[in-house]
Amino acid sequence: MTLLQIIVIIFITFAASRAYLRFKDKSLSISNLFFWMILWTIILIIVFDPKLADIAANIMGMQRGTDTMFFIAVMLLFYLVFRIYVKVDSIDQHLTNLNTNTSIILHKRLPNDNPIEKRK
Amino acid sequence: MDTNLDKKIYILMPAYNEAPKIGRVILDITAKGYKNILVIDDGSRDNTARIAKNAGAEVLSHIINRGQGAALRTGMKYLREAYNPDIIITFDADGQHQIEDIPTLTQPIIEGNIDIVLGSRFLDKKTKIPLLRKMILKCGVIFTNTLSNIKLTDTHNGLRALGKRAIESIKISHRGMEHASDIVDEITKHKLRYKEIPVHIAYTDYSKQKGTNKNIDFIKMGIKILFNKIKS
Repeated sequence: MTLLQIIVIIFITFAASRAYLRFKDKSLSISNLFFWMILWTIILIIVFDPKLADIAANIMGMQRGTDTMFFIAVMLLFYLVFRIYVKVDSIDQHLTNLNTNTSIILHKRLPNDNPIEKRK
Repeated sequence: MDTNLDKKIYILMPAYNEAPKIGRVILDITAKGYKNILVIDDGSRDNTARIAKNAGAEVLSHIINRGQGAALRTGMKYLREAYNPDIIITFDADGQHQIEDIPTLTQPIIEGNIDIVLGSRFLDKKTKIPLLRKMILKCGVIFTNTLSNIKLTDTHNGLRALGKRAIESIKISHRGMEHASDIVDEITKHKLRYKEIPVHIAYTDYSKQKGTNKNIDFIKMGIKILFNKIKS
């Protein structure tokens, strides 16, 4: 077993266990757990049998398996960053709505501070 | 004849750390007969809210700073629910807008021909715009016009008047300065009748330090708008 394979096994064991623990405490959905487990399994298989990457390279029309893996990894990272960006944006929207609604509710509870109402 | 008196006109003023200017701006507006002023204090760390209240405005305070778009959204929602206004005028708190422009903005709405009137600093030569700012603003105009399929001369002018149809249909989704593009998008989406009116923007040392007056903010704004277009 090479040093790289040992490092990858340790890393994947750690990452997969974290994913499972997050699934157990219900902060990760079953579909997300499934996604991460599949991903780590594919990486594990390729690390132990690098020729599989060459097969993927042939299918995709690339010359070397490592290039293909690198390409797929970068694409995946871009996709994940986009997903995180969308999620952060959604949380940001919720925060803004919460801020709007809270300020209106608080304001309605203090009508004596309302000069427009006083003039009526 | 001042037909403004027949309509429920509200001035909506988003404000963030505007304590040095906001009191004077509100007093000047009320002196011209516009008594209904709603200030959205967007989580200011200075005395903006207290000064605005003392000057006679109704003040609604955000707990945290969320940006001008969010402040306008809060203001529009509150005014719709509480007062059912005929016209809402969005007016900056830093003193760069001119009160004299308000009647010309409201007139086309009062006459019933137009749903939203947008101020434009490019329709006449009154506003002296610094060259770099002018170039960036023009790029913004081309960018927004292309994305929103509309033809305007000034897409990022904060001085505008919204009539009943515009008040009810326009939804602001961006919380920052990009809300100006939202408004343009909503005009196209809801087929609102719009008109541009020449207005004068006073660029002072104070106003240049506020809002999107840093040129880099306009570039960031463009990226955000583009991202949201891709996302949607």
